[in-house]
Amino acid sequence: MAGNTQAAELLAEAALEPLYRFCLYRLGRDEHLCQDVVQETLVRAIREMNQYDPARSGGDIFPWLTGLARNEIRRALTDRKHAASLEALWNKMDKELLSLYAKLESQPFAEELLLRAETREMVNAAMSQLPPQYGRALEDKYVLGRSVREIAKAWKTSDKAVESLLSRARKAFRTAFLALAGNLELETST
Amino acid sequence: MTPNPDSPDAGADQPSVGDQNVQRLLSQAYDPEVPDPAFAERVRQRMRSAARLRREAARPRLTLPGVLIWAAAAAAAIVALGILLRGAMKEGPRPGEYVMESGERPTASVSAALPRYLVDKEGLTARPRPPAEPVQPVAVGSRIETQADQRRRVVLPDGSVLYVNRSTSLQVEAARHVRLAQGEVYVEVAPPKPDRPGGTFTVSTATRTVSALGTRFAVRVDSTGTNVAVTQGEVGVSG
Repeated sequence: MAGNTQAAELLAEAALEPLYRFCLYRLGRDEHLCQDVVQETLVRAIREMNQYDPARSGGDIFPWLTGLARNEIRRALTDRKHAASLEALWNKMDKELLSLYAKLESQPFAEELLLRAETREMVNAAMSQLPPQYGRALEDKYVLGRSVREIAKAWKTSDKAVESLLSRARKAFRTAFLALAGNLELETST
Repeated sequence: MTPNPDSPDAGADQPSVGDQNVQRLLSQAYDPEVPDPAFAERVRQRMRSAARLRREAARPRLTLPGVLIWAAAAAAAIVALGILLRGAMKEGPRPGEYVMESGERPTASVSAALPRYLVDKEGLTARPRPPAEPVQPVAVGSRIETQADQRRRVVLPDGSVLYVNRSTSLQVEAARHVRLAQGEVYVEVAPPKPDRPGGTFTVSTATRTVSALGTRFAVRVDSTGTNVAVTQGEVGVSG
């Protein structure tokens, strides 16, 4: 991989978008700062590829990349004396809206609530907080509409393992979503 | 997008309100941000560049013995160049070379005094190399002899080339036939052409006849007899 421009291209293809989403909300939705961090992370990944040990992450490079990204995020926020706040996002939310989101566990959401731009922001922000494998599992199941069996086949694992992963992923999503609805600070460290 | 009904979990217990909301949020409201395409291209370029730099950094470096060999070769080349230049500076004017009335050879500092055709925008022009004289093939019947300190290169009427070594005596008996009396000759046999005589090229000695077509070979005659060395193609030896 190291030193191979084609492999660098493949890494960019596979990691750029997920890494961008991972960083965006951790940087207070600052797109320019996010671009700097993502670029530095990926270039650093190429330079330090000899430190990546596939055996430690089951051949999945994303956890290693997010580790590098967290360091870059911390550095960027320190340099700019910037807190990872989502002021713009919170400014759009009124208390009534947040109280509706807070009823995630107890009340089915109205259709019009699902169509609101603020809801989209909340879902995107919550997804960005999840561990990568949770995010991918939820995307496969609920965005791409794949069955458990199809996901299990694609991931070379059992149906039971996928069901268990989806259950944990949904729970993690609920936790993140409710934390945002409660106007809690985003996770910016490990 | 709704969950796929043929999934193993389709018939599971009724999901909780929370799970239903999660499913609806993800299938209807999740619309992940996409990075700006110009930014994505910039990142790709920087990654490719980093990969190239890394590959170059990983290339094997010269080892100490390798460095010493290269240093010795470079030193030898510099010494040889110095000797050549010194020899050239001691030489008198070459035939056809422009010489000033004072007897000095022109330099860039006196270029203003030189005829225009000898000077270009940068200073002196190089002296034009005289055209090479066309090589005249030796005639059939010619006798070629070299002394102990002499070698010759001869072209035959068919285009074949003879490299005649020291102390050699031979006669061109036909366009593609040579008789070697003594010494050594290396032959580059020209392939047959429409405007040139063709057929097998033969070199005869007192004891042998060597025949070849479009090949390169050497024939030597000495006190031990006739020796043949072939560097390209095949030859036939008779006698």
